[in-house]
Amino acid sequence: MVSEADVRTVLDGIDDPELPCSLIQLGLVESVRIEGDVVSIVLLPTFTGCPALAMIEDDVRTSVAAMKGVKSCDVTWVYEPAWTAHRISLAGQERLKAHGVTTPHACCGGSVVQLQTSAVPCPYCGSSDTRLDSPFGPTRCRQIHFCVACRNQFEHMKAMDS
Amino acid sequence: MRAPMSDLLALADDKLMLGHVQSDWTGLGPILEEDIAASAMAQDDLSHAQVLYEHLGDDPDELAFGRDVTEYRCCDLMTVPDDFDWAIATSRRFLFAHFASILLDDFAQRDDADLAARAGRLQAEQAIQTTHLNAWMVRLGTGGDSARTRMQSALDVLAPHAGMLFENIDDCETRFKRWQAAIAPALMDAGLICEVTFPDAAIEGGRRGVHAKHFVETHAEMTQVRAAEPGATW
Repeated sequence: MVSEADVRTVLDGIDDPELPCSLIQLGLVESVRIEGDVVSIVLLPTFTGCPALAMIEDDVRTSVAAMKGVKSCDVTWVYEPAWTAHRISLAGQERLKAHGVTTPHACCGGSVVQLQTSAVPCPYCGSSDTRLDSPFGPTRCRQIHFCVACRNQFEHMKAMDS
Repeated sequence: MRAPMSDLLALADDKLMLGHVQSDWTGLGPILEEDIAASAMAQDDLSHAQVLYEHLGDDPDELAFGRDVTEYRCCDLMTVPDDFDWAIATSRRFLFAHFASILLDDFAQRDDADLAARAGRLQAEQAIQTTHLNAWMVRLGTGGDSARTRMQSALDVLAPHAGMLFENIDDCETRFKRWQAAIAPALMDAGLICEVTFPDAAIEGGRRGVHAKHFVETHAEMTQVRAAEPGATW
């Protein structure tokens, strides 16, 4: 029989379709349950309107169902507990930062509202002389900041812990 | 479908229609950031409608596209044509965002755990819209004579429709007062006036399935593919 650790290793090998960060690293995986050769996985959406959700679900089902000893894999999305950016692991934070995307761990850990007046350190030069340009970024989970010091734009994961 | 929950269907239908209408702005927003914001908010609203429909029934598509016009419970504020006037689009979003926020707060307190979890999640997303729209009302209201005049004209056009948000919903009078209190600070900072009166019970509107011509036309456009090819997938 397949083990939960094996399934989690497979899930850690699946990156989000829009970010270089695995589903485990992003904190999307809430639970993995194994009953014989059937695996049930519960995931948390970052945003309800994220178009990547269907892709993620397909990737998970296909990859896990292809494991030895697995006949089928069910995927369920739940809203409780709610995903927040604080679920992103240390490894995930580092991969995102290398990609130019910061996370709330890097600053005050406040909500979106607070972030409009709180500096998020620039992932490129480290300066705190940055500002929020727009709460709406390239995907629903990211917002756009601008670094006054190095004049780069960068993206920041919304905390969503209101 | 679950037992009638008129408020829930009303909010889901509002979000479906506004998300559909607002999608027209994709690629046409006045500046890049706001073009993206408008599209993101439309994306939010369509997904919020889906999340609420999923609570109400097994097939969200059927609820979204499969009903007769008289079965929709949206307020016709959503489909008032904006004729690509950004002031109308922004003001409508602002007026509706606060209404949605109040209902989602209430739903998040319900005993129904599934509904409460869904509403809690949606409220976290809705709050981003509300904050953003408050800021833009103030920015445009104080952005010079031309911007202020356009914003005030937009609010004058929308005010008579906005009261109908509270037609035939639970605790309508209390919620109306909460909503007025919620929109007041941004309007005051913006120097704008929006005089909305509580709807006369004798006037039947969208919440009771009596819809304006612009709703009927928007609905026809929205359900065109389904009408031409029922059950189509891609």
